[in-house]
Amino acid sequence: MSVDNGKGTWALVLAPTLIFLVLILVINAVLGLGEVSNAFKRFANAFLTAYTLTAGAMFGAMFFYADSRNRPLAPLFGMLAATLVGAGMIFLFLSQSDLLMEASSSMQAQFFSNIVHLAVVFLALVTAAGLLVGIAMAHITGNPPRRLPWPVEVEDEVEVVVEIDSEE
Amino acid sequence: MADGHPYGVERTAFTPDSTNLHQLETMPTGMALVEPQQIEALLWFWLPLALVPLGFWMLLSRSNESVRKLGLPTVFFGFIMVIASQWTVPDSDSSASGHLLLVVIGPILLLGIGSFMAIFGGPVPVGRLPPVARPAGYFSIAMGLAWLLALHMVQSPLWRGEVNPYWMVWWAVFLLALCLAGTSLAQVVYLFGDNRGRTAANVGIFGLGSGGVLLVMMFNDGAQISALQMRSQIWLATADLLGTIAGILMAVLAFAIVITLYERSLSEIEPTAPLSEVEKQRVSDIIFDNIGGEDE
Repeated sequence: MSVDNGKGTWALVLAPTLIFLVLILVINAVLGLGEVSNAFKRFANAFLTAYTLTAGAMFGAMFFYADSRNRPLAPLFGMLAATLVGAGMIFLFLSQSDLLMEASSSMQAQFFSNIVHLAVVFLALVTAAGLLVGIAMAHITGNPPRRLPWPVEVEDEVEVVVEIDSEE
Repeated sequence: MADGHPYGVERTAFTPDSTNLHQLETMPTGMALVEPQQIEALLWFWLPLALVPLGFWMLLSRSNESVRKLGLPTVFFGFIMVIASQWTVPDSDSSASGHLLLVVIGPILLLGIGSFMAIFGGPVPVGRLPPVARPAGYFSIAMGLAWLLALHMVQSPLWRGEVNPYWMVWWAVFLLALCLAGTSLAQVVYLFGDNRGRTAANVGIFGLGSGGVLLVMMFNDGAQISALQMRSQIWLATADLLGTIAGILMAVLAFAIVITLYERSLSEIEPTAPLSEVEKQRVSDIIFDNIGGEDE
């Protein structure tokens, strides 16, 4: 089955995942949860740290973009500003007494804990994604389509006449 | 996890007899920031950790060949030093992530090498491996997954006498990502691929299988991790996963907005003046040199 790329298609792609996620969470909640009161803090910390560090990495990538555009400063400053917004929000929210603080007692400790936490989550994500892509690619390369998607030119059979010198 | 101190370093317990420690406790915050333990954590954990993205950045450098060549050794050195942080800075809580890296590096390598062998053991047009590589690749993947499962069911990685907290985070996020991304990828392959129903089914079954493993762990205790702990970790892993993905997508969106705004602000390119006679002659010479050929 092959469909055109559209909004409906992406909804079809994401729907089973979201249904599956909700199902897991419902079963999880029905069975009973332990100490998960800081789930929102974990979400917010992950969001802010991931945003700020990715924006910082994009700021680095902007240097390569600038290389191909006679080194303009405007996009560099733009991305630097986007990164600083993230850093400022982290500072602002962590400095509010208990808003985003988990087990850490100092803002600095929470900040560094967030970075290590993000690195661990990122490693798990990359490992899972790499494994899935590897399995899908292995199956695709191992089972080439019987019908090629492009037209194939079939050469006319050439009748080869071999003259055999008769020794008789 | 965090013990409430900068860089995750455990502060030495206060003893009334120790004058120096008392001075440290009453020291202003600015001065207390430069404790030797923190400098050690900075040197032996955070700097090596920073070397990893720096090395990848160097790998992308196009202007300087020597900088690019230094990229991979920098990444490798950073990884090794982060793994070694459990010995170089054992007091730091962050070193638990180095311990985790050491624990999972074996299964991850098995999964990576297995995927590579399974892909290139098939009838690919370039870089084809011997046919035995394909089953060996699948075997390697199965071994990697079995290793990870054994880390939950047989012996979980211990850190300071308890299960490494980062292992619980990593394991829950890995399983959750595997089942959620697996079902999504199956849909992508099915909807966008041409006659790829079987591939989609296999990837989907793999994703659902991961979900099945997740469910089993929600019901049954592991070697050192109880079912209740696992359920809590899955709940928190969902928060981590959604937060991380949302944050990354927001940063990519910011990047796209910055580039779009800059490109829109550029003035349109004015038409250039027509070629002069000298330029025309030069172009003709170049074309003649390249496609004219030599007289035989």
